[in-house]
Amino acid sequence: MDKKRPGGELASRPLHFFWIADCSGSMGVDGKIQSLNNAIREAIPEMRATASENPNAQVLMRAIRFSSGAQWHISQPTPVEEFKWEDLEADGVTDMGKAFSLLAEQLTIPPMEERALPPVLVLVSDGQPSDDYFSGLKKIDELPWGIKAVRLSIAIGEDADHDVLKKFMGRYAEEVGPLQANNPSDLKNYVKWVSTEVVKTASSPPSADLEKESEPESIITNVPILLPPGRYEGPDAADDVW
Amino acid sequence: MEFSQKAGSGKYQPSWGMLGETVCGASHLRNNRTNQDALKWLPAPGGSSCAVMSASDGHGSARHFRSNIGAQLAVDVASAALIEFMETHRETENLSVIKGMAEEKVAPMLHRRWKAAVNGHLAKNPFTEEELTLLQKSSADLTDKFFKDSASAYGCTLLSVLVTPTYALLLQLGDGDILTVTEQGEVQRPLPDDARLFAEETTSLSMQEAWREFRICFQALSRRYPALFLITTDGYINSFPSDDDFCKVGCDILNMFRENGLEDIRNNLPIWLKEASHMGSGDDVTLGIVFRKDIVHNNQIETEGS
Repeated sequence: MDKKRPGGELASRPLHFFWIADCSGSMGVDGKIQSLNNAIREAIPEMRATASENPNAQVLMRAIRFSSGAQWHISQPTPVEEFKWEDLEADGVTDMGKAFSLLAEQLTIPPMEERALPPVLVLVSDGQPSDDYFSGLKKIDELPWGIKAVRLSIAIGEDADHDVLKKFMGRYAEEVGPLQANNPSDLKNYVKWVSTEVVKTASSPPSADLEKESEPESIITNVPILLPPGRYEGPDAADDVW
Repeated sequence: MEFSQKAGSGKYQPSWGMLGETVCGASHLRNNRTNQDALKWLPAPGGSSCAVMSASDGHGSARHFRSNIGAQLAVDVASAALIEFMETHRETENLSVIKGMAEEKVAPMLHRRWKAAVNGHLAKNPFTEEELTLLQKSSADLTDKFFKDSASAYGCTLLSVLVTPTYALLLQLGDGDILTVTEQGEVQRPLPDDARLFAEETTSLSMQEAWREFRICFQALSRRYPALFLITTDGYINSFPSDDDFCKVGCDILNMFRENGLEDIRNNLPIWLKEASHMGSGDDVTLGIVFRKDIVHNNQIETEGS
């Protein structure tokens, strides 16, 4: 392979992964926020291992926290190999819409690359939005990468608003639906699932044919996600704390 | 059978050569999957004054489980249909008439013939229990949809180039790229952009009205002939961080033809494409090249076949 090949530099395709975490006061009750911190932190080694199996995708991590307002918890796209999780703290209300607006700013092209793999957006919440979430969500839904992203949600406890989570999930609402975590074990399993299986699928998706917008019943996600094991088995009631 | 040159008689007419390669993607190799791309070129009637080349990219998802076969059928159908189109209109002097016929007739013809080829293959090779079980595992909902339109199992894209002494016809359904390179090394995309081809979604021959989704460019050729036509599947462009990095392929290959000659490119093409997939997208990568023979170093003349 002595000959210089044609074209410029070669590069793997970026896969942007966003945690969107509810840090409202209620997340401080019954250890929910700490369970989330633990689950994300504990999933990192397996996420790295999953990412390393596919050198053709570069997994880049970011995180948003929202309570009274929304801020970047990890603002720069961070290679999963360098990704560290600083603990979130719970306090305030549930300004989910502001988090959506913040996210939408980063889903435009640029800064997103047109050649990127479909980004993964994971919303974790235990309650109902306290602001105008819909206007924030609309900003995401108006963006090509917002529409085409893999959009998943984890509902913590029985007070999580499934209707809102489904609206966030868009095309994935029917295929996957919100993942209901009623105890720390559920949460850990779902965080691990999105950190490994979803990353694995999203980093090497096959092509799919475009469906006609006039045939909504035939809308199929561009990155088909298989449901996590045990998704419909239900939690052990004895373990339910949320 | 000589192509009858009506317009531009007595003027310079280039001879065209063709070469290309398709390689299985690095991620497909890791997962024990086969190459879903296909590439075909044929010596067209009229000898080297004409060229026909097609590439296709099978979708490769669970519900497109025969897309590698669909891709091969697509390039077979397109090669034959474009030669037939050229022959049908070889006595036509008015390029506007040919342009009109190309824009009106070719896409429906390609779609119709591809569906016929798929149905023929399916009749001889019914879906196996194993194929249907795998489909069922991927999604029960998909299975219901699938049985309404079993051609989706063969879903794929199609990119074709037909070059004659008087015109070039470029057709594209779905993702991938058709580039032209001028003698000066300027790389152009003659076909209009399709903003919907994004995030692993593409138009497909398996769509019900796929013929409506073709992008077509008819170029009258006289005096300014492109030096190269390049056809690539999307695994190639996705291996570069920017469009500029990808388009550089065009002018680099032109320079390689001029400086190193045909054999050098032919020998290295598989290596380059494997390297692109390995260090880039991981997808199958296909590159087809239609080149003007007079640009080749030492005027190497060869007759190629796919």
